Amino acid sequence: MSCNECEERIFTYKELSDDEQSQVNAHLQECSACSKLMEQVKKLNHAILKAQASTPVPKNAFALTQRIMESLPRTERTFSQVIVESFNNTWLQYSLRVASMVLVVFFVFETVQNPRQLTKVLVHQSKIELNSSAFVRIYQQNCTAPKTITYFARYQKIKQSGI
Amino acid sequence: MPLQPEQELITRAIAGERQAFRQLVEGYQGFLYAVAYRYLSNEAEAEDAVQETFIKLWKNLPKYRAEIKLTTWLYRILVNHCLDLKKTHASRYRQVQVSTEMAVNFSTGSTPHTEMEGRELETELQRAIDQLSGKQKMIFVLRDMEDMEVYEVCELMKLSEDQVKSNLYHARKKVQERIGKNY
Repeated sequence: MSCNECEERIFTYKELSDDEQSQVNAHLQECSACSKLMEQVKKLNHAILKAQASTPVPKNAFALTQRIMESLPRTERTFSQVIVESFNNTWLQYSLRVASMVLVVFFVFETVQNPRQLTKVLVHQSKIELNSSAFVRIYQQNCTAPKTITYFARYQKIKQSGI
Repeated sequence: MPLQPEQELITRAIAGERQAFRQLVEGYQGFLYAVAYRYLSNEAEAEDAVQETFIKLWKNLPKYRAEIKLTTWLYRILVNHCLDLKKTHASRYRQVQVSTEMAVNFSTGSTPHTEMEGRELETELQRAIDQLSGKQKMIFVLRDMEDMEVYEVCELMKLSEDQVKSNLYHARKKVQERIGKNY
């Protein structure tokens, strides 16, 4: 490995694979110039580590949050979004749970107290009258002329035959 | 109020519930600000970038697919926005050189002495990062400052692993040349 190749690898030592690091280490044992550079890079890494510890923070984080929130564009919410959002309300959710439980208890209580039997009521009628003339009149109004004549003629024929 | 599961918040936000979206903003604005600030080196621009990211998220929430992590999506929006900002020179603010003010708003958990050292180092490192080109800078910020995995950087930058490694090499070399004399 040449010193030029080694120089790049010294600066990116952290990102090297184990094999690549071994190659660099072998070169460092033979080359004092690269060893010196390696020491300098280690100091740089140490300085970067120290600098990492002091993180820049906004002067006034609360004010920045306020500023961001105020700058957000207003979104037009649909009716369904408003409904869904209102159900996110914790109090409303608990109220609905309590209300449904009360209804279930009331239903059970009512059923036990007043058991009702379902009865099937059958309507007995001796005859069924069909007001067929009214049907034909509406049919005549709605259908096209040729069909009306045809079906009306058929109706007349059936009526005359007495079926 | 405890942070509710992300998926539930997203579902409620998609339904148009602003309070759920607010919780997402509160949860993620810090991560996004850190990347934006390290890339843009300007508080106002970083805040604008975060704001733009969330506006785009809000507008595109109905297209959200559960198989994509929300953080990945947010980072992608932010990265694209920052790269576009640099590419088109559309910065609305003057590019402020790294100043002492810059070091004030850093969250650390160390002692005053080490904190001061850390601030100096951070300032020097930020100056070195500012010298990098757009793509190199973003890759360096994501991989080295935000400690992301290489595959995540590839995904966000839409680059191959070799391309990311090559950019990392050039970026680290430039940063090392710049701040190497200080240690």
